[in-house]
Amino acid sequence: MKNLHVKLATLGLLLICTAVEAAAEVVVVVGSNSPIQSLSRHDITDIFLGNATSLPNVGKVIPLDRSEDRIRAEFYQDYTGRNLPQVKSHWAKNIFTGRGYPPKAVSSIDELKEVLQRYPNAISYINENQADDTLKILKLN
Amino acid sequence: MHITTEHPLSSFSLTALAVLFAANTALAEEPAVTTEAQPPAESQSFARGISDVFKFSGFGTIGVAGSDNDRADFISHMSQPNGAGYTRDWSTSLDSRIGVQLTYLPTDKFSAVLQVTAEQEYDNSWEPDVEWAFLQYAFTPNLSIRAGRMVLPIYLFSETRKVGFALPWVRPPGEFYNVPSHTVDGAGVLYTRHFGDVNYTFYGVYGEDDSRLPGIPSDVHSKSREGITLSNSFAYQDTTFRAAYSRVKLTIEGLDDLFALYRGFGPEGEEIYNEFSIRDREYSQLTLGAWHDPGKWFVGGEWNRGFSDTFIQPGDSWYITGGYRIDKFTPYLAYAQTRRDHGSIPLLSAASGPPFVTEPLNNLLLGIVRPLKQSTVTVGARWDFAENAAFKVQLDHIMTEENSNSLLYNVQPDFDLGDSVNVLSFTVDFVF
Repeated sequence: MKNLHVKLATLGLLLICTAVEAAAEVVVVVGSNSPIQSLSRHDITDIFLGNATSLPNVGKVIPLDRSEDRIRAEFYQDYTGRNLPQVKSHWAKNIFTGRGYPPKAVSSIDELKEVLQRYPNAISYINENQADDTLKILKLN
Repeated sequence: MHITTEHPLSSFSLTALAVLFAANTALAEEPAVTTEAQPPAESQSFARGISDVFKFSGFGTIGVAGSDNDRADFISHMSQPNGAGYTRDWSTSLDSRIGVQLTYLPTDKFSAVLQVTAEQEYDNSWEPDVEWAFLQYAFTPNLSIRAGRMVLPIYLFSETRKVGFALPWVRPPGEFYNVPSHTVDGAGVLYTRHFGDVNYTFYGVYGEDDSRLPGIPSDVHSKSREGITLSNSFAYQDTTFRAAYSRVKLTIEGLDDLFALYRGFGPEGEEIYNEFSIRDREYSQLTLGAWHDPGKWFVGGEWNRGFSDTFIQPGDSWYITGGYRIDKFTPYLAYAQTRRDHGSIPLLSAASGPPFVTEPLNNLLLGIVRPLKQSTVTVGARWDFAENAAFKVQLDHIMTEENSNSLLYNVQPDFDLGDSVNVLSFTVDFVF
């Protein structure tokens, strides 16, 4: 009986965790040592769609993408208002006119943290609950 | 009047590309971003791996289009010698094509692009063409120069005309895009600047081109010289405004010989030649465009005015289009029209020769230089069924006008000007 309670409690906890994970907001992050403090939604769109490689008052900014479809889809929908096919179509336009390639992508959270730590002008995105003190969540202005 | 570029690419750009590709392979052996290499001193960019130095990409379209009018061919661009309608009911060549691109990015400042496409050519072959082949050097992130072969940036979708996946429609509106000028061998300058929230981009290109176009009885050689195209775009959030000016000196050998025939008929014939000659004659155009795409929907349009010192009719073309995105489906509408007219056309009178000679000559002339008028209503939908591929279905209702030429080809004597043509197209566009 006690065992069952533990199991139920664990299951409950897992369900809550999953719910939190699903509901967690996607936030835009830089390394904790980055000089970048805040960006506008429009700046983020420009950087991730390759319309700008540097920003006034900030300098050069390097976008870092995520290879997992789910968070990528959520990020582009939330911050640029575009779904993945639209983003793909946008890059096709740039690639085949010699205007550039999409951002590099990392495939794990550890890799993301490592790259952001190493490159202070790099910028990426993460589920809010996965951010730790190696990262700085950017304010939107 | 051109479109299909001749194959010998300006040897300068090909040689330069070959040398650079060979000489710089050693540079590619820098660590990739995920290795344990030391951070670069200035932390300005990620270290480059081999996959960042050479990039291979491609695009293509598999399409079939059918017309309900068997007295004229619907074609999707001027270099096609036949299409759907008269030659065959359904054509798989109208929109089908493949393109591959190799990009070389040895440093942040230097890049080289080589793009080759294969599609239906002026001679019905599918011989590959070099579409882009240029070297680019970025002095700063905002200022670059290019040299080699480039696609002219005349209209909003000129440069991506062939990349179906990047287009909202099956093909760009014909009244606007089915026109001369396509690529150029020369040099270009790209400059971008922020003015507050507005991103300004200037792109200027100068150069020349040699192409072949289908013609009767044989294909013709088209030469453009001293071609200059200046394009300015202003992007503010989801809206882009564009203004472009383009000017070129055109020569079409076979066609000019035809106009030269009239010079044997006194002052009237001389006037005809002066008016319509296509030897070193200027054709210029001014284009304005606007596009708004907040993500959920889009609306846009372009307007163009052509100025002509030759047989190409001067006048206006425009289109307006819009679409609404419902998840992976994007239904869209478009309306396009072109109205180009020389006004009064000089002809040979009885004073210049006997009617049995001047009448056929007058009719021939009128057939070539009479007004060009056509409009099209388009309805279609795009379905992004995979991340790299989209399916489109599109219906075009094309309206011709009496006493005017249209953009239809192989028009038969029993085609009634003023008739309309319906074209149904299905395409799968993909990128890799």
